[in-house]
Amino acid sequence: MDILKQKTMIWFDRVQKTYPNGVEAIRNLDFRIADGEFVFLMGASGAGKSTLIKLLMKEEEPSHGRIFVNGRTLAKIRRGAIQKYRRNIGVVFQDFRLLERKTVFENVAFAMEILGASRREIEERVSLVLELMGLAAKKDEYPAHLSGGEQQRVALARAIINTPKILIADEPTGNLDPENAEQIMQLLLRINERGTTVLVATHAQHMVQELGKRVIYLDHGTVGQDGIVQTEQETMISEVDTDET
Amino acid sequence: MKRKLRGIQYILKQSIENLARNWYMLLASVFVLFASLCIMGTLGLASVNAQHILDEQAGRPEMEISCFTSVTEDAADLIEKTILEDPRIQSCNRVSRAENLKKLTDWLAEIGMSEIEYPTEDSSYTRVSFDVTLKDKADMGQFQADMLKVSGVEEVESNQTVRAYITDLRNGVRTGTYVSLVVLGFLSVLLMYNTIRLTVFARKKELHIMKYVGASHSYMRGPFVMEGIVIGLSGAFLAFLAVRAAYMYFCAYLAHSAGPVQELITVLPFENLAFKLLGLFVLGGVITGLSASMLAIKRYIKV
Repeated sequence: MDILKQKTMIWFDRVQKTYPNGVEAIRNLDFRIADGEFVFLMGASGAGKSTLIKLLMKEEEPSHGRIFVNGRTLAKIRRGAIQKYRRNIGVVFQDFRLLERKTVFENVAFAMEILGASRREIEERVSLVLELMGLAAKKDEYPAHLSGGEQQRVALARAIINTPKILIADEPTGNLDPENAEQIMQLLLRINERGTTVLVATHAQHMVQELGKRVIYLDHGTVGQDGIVQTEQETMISEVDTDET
Repeated sequence: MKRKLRGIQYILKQSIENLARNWYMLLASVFVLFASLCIMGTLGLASVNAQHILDEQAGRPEMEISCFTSVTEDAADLIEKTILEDPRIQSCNRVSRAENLKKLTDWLAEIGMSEIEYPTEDSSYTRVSFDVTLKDKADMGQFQADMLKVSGVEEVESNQTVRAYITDLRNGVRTGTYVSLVVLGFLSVLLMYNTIRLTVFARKKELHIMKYVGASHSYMRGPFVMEGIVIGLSGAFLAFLAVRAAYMYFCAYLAHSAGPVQELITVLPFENLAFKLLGLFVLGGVITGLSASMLAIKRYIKV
């Protein structure tokens, strides 16, 4: 994928974030993510991943630099328009954050209900997305009766129900076994294939290596490495090629 | 338009859920507001009525000399002569039995007791009286004592002491109203704030999701604002009913009590005050509810 030829969806332009207590979470962060790209965000704890997501959600303001999302400068978004901006972004968390007293269907529908969607719209869209997530049979179950993987799929369904342009997944597989983690990753890839820009913050090195996607490695609040990781298969092939020559 | 209606529907539904979720705190909040409004309302009504009594007193003569009902017109002429000959007198106006009867029936009508059957045609049980103004108010005490010695004079009433007493009472009640407005208002806001704060905590997860999904401010805050308004209105209406019942009871008590109390304390009919009182209660309840919910929202719902 030639990033330069594509429209930029996210652009961190020499961003710095220093908290009031003096902690410098982000230092001169500079990268672009193209529209429709799938990017992993990696780095040790405290490297700045969470702050980056907060900045992107406009929960925090940068101390210096600019952030562009879909061509708009975040600094120019008025306080009253923040919520409207957030409708373009879907978020998935490690701890799922589902509402225990609502069923699977209601949890997903909630995200539409609070945006004023009609009952008919909700019925149609939620059924469709639950189908896509393989949860149609579980729509009347409560989160407590679901496995971790299923709960994360519900969270994913809720994140994409309003068709956001960007999907941010913060450690989406952190609480899952390898099999469920694999399923979630496959779903994220499918969502990406439909045109959504996906940004996944993770520690799962093996998964990153398996998928061969672009990785932005954060190191002490700045970009340590940025590039496409070769898949294990590709590495093996290149190793064989090197041996033969 | 439809979307807006759905929004209103959602806010109403959520506010009912909020109220049901913390019903015990809801009851406590409503009760505190109810009690506060009852106290403030009672003090307010007392103040209004004290002013009413003062206004009435202002329209009355400075001093009223009343004869026994048994005093004949000739004997009344003699009493009048005695009064007029006194050098301390500035003016004296004789009030006949018929005029006093009319004053009585007018007063009964004013306090809503016109249905009580008085023999309005027969003035024989009323008395002749004299409205007197003195040249020097300092002579009032001595003049009062001298007049009581005149044969046929039953009582001499001076409204100066009454006015001074009622003015003090009114000022005290007004101060009490202002103090209670501040203290009880603060307490009510504090308790309602806590109630709404608990609901915000109970819905923290939902609010978090709403924030990330991009729900509008009205969707996030509306249910809590509505919760405050509902508590405020409930407290206001209950307080209005309670104060109304107490006032009616007091009116009935006054009507059945005889003697100087009934004569002195003339309360305004509740109908004259009801609309204003309800308006003030509703306004007070809504302002308290809104202040509490706004404070809780500002403090605990960060967008």
